[in-house]
Amino acid sequence: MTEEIMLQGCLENLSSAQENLYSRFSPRMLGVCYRYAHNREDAEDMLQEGFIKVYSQIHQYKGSGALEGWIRKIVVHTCINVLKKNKKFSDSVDLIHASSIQISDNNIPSILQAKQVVECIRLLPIGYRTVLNLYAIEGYSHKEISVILEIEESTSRSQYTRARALLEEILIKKKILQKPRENVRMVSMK
Amino acid sequence: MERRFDMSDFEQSLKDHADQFKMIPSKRVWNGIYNNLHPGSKWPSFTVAIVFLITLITIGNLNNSTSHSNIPAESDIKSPKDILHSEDAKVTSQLIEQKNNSINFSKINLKHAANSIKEEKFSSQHKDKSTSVTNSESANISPDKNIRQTQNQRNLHANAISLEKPVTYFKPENIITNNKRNAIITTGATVNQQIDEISVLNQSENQQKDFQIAFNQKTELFSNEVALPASYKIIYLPSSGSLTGKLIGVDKIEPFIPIQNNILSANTAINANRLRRKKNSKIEWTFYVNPTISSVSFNKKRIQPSANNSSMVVLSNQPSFKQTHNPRFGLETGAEMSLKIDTKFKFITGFNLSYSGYNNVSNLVHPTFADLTLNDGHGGTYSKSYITHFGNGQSQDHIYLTNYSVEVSIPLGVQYNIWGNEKIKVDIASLFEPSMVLKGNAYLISSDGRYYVNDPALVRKTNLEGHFGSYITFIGKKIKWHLGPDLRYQLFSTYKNIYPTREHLIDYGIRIGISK
Repeated sequence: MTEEIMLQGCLENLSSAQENLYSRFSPRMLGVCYRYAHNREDAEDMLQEGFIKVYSQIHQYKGSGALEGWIRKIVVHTCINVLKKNKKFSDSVDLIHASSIQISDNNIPSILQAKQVVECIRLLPIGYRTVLNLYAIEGYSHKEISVILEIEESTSRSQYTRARALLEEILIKKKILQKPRENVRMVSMK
Repeated sequence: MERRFDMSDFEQSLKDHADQFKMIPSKRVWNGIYNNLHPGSKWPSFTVAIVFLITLITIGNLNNSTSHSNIPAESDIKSPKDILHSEDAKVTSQLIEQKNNSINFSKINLKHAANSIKEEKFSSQHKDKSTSVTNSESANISPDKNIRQTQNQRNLHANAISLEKPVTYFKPENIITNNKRNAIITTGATVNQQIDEISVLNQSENQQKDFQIAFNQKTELFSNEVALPASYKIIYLPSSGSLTGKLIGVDKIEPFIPIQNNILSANTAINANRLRRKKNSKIEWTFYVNPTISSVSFNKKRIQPSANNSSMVVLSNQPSFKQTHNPRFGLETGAEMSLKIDTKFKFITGFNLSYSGYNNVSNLVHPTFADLTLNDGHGGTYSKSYITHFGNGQSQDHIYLTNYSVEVSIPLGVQYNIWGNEKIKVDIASLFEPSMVLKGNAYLISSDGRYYVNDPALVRKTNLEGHFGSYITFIGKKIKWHLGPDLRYQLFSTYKNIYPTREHLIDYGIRIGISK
């Protein structure tokens, strides 16, 4: 089924087209949800809510960008809304390691298991994780993040810096990332 | 949102890897989405609930109808149009004609009415201190036969009802309001005690006037004769003592059920030769469906390495791995014949078709070799290799591998009645079912417990099941419903003896059966 036929079917509320769309994009979108959620069940709930929004707003898709990007945007916003609803951002964050981790931009191995990286991201506190997801993976700017999460832009920056530092520490502990011996620089606040 | 272009290598690498990450959502998610998008099709929750509710209501109605079998249903009452087209209409017209000419209640010639009287059936249920008494008679007399022959054939003798103590009766008008005293037909009946009320259940409004004859409350003796079209019903209420007499050409005669404080206290003695209902045949057929939940039990036999075979494969065949499986819905259906051995026991046999199976939780892996260690039948073992891409993992990206079998079987066993009355019976049944596998599929766990391999050739073609059930039988007017829990256990392993793991399928179900 081509994308045009699939979209037309979704506009006509045809279950076959809807299922086709779902089976095509749901695995990747569940991966997105999983990075934001506490556990798999929460992620599936987010995915379900996200896809319901996708189907209900499918007429708004004008075809200007990739369909996957449009769906992903809806799913990410759904995840954020769910987290906001559950007030997960109020979790306190231990920042004890944030400023003392030595990192290098070049020391990420070229081949990493995607799952390992995602699981390491999920070890971060929810506030860190959300900012990291939005900034580093989804590509939002700190200004956009501040609007989405209803926080200060500076807060977003500091959260991200700490999140990144903590993630690197986790990656090193998990031996996914080697502790750099040369070309080391300290984490600097952006 | 615009994509930032100032990403560092760390962020880029993080993004690349995170974007590669995929997870397969469970079916629950799509079901939730589908139900939200198409709220009108919430199968199976609503549909199953409705079907279950309808079944219960039907069973309830069928059971209630037996308790009021003495009272004709409205649907039994013919419309005037129907009557005009029926054979009864001839008689009716004759009677009307007779009445117009000269109505002599004491000398209405039964010959003129004999056409209408069809055949007689008189049935009753008799029980000492019984809870119900039912007499019915339907008459059919050939028009050419003379009245004496007809009378001889149709007379009902010794129709005696004795009551142990005075009882409270429902007045007829409380029961059959539109037939109150519409007609009374006394066809030679001799009543030797006082009758409170006698009424004939008329068939239509049009005929009420024609048959408003000879009603005589507090009558002690009826000697009149009158023709009575078929399908008429007489209801009489004896106050005490007994009622004896001849009732000729009467389609149905029913003693009214006396009720006092919900306890029926009529004691009847009815001529068994004429009144006894035809004995039920000893053989009864039951058709049933049995929705089941199929599960499985495993009994893993550890293979002892033989002296001449101590390969790593054999040594690794330790039952330490976990095989995760989920039950599946199954179905059994068939016909069952029961043959009465005595009042309590029945011999059961029949034909059964069943589908049962379960799901193995697996995950997709790169195609790889997996081995099964099998018994060679001489105390030794050998290894058989397969290429598989199903792992025995319980990762989040799991898939289900369905093991199932479609079998035909012949149940053989006994059924024992542990309790019962006229409406409900409770039976237990124990059966053995020799079975033959028509179709099946088998994913077997490899000897190292890491993979699943597909080899239907290892499935045993014949098997034996043990069957145990407890059924409640609701006896309706025309049909019987059987309902109850059912357990089916596969006595031999699903697989041939060369496969060391013993697998026994277990089906738990609710049997819904119907029989005449």
